[in-house]
Amino acid sequence: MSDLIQYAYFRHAVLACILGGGGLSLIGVFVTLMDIPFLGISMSHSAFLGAVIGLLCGFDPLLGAMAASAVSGLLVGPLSDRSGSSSNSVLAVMFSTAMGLAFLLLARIPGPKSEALNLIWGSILTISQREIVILSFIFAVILISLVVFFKEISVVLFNREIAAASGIPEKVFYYGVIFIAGLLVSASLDIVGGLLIFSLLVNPPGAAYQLTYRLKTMFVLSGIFGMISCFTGLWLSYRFDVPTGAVIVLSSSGIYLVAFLLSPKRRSRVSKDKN
Amino acid sequence: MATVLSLNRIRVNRRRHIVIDDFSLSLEKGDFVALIGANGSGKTTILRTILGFLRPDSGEITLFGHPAADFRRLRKRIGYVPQALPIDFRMPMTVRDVAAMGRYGLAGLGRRLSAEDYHIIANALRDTGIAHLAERPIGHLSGGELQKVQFARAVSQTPELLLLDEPTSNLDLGAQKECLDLINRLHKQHSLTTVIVMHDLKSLPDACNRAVIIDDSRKVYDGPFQEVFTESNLGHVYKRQSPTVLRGLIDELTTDGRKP
Repeated sequence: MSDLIQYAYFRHAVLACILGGGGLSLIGVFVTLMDIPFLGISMSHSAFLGAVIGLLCGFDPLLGAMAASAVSGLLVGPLSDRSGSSSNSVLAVMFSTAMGLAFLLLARIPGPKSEALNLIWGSILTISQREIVILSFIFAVILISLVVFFKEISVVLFNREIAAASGIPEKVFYYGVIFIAGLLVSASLDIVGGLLIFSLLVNPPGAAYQLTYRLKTMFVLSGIFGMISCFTGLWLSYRFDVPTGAVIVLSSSGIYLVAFLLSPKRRSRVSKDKN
Repeated sequence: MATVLSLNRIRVNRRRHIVIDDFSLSLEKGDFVALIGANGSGKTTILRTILGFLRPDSGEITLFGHPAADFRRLRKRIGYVPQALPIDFRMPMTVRDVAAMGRYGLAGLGRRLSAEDYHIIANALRDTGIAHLAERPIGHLSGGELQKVQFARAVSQTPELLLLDEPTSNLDLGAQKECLDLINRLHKQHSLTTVIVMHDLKSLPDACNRAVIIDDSRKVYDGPFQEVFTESNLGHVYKRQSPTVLRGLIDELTTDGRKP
């Protein structure tokens, strides 16, 4: 497999494993702890709608995808706060609306629609240099924000009202996380595709959660598990000639399963139940 | 005496409904006031208005001598223990992590906690009697222990005003007693100006020296705590109770040593 490193497409795929796999898994810690698993699927379908609009209007579909995810990301927080609905309900409404609109507009695109549909299925081996640059930028923003604002982020995760009562601008952080998640999801769609991206947001942080009682450790483990999932998937795909996206997802599920079996939390729950 | 808090004829509407009407309250340093009323009378709304979570439609709020325009800055001087905090027990955090949150706003955005901050957090854990639990994950705590963690977080904020919203609700009798002892001790140690919201007069801490009764959005009593035990006052708190029941309640409360 090392001989493949001479090819640009493979180098891009390796970088996507680090930047996309790691970044999605870091954002996934928020998704898991804030209990908004719908975020991934909603943002990816908003991105799909944006890409369709791009194709229909004749501009770059990636730009359309990122703009649509950014707008969705900006709307989720204020909509759920002002309507009194849960973020998951707002995300579900946005997901279904984006899907309906996307398929309505898709029918109006003349000729082949593969460029838009590729966003649904994804392929890590087709990631371009430009996508790597965008992913690098978003990954850097996430890492720097986590290092600089860890204490603010941790109190917002713990409880938004407590964060506000402590004088932390909690809305800036809460809305900011959803906005960055939207951008990252749209920029990472090629890794596993819109339908499966959900797994990289949920499985690695879920596995990390099983193994630690510390938030910092959960972030570190989740990022590492995300990267390992992508690398393992890439290798399995090469070794057995199977679809890369699917094996990346299954690798992350495998990591979750191992973490669950080794989890000190599970064992303490089992012994509690026996008592 | 320095005025810590002043609410002047505030009115708060929520969803076109008057929740608080023509409400005034002034607190001096060291006051311990109980806001008493039946469920839905508007007690929690007053606390949330003091914190700036709700904006009054009319009236004035002054906090620590400043007009409360910049709530985010002034909130850092208020310790808050909310009612039935919806905490996710699965959150991967320890007792010390949560207690430290009281310092986060004061430390400043993006700044790390100093050695002095950690010293204050250690003292808050000690004062609230949970220093031995510092490294325990919050998911491993009982309801009473978790409530003490909330107090430790509020105390580590070194507040000038402490707001407690039904701090003993959802606790068993033993945990309630421990919690009330803790409130009394904290008030004595730090001379903390405190506002406690309660609907049950039986569960008020001894340190409480003033009572304000709210009924149907309005203040109906504001005076010494010892004089609150009258049939007409308690009728506002324990609604739809016969005079006989109220008299029995007064006997029960006064023989508890609450009234001289």
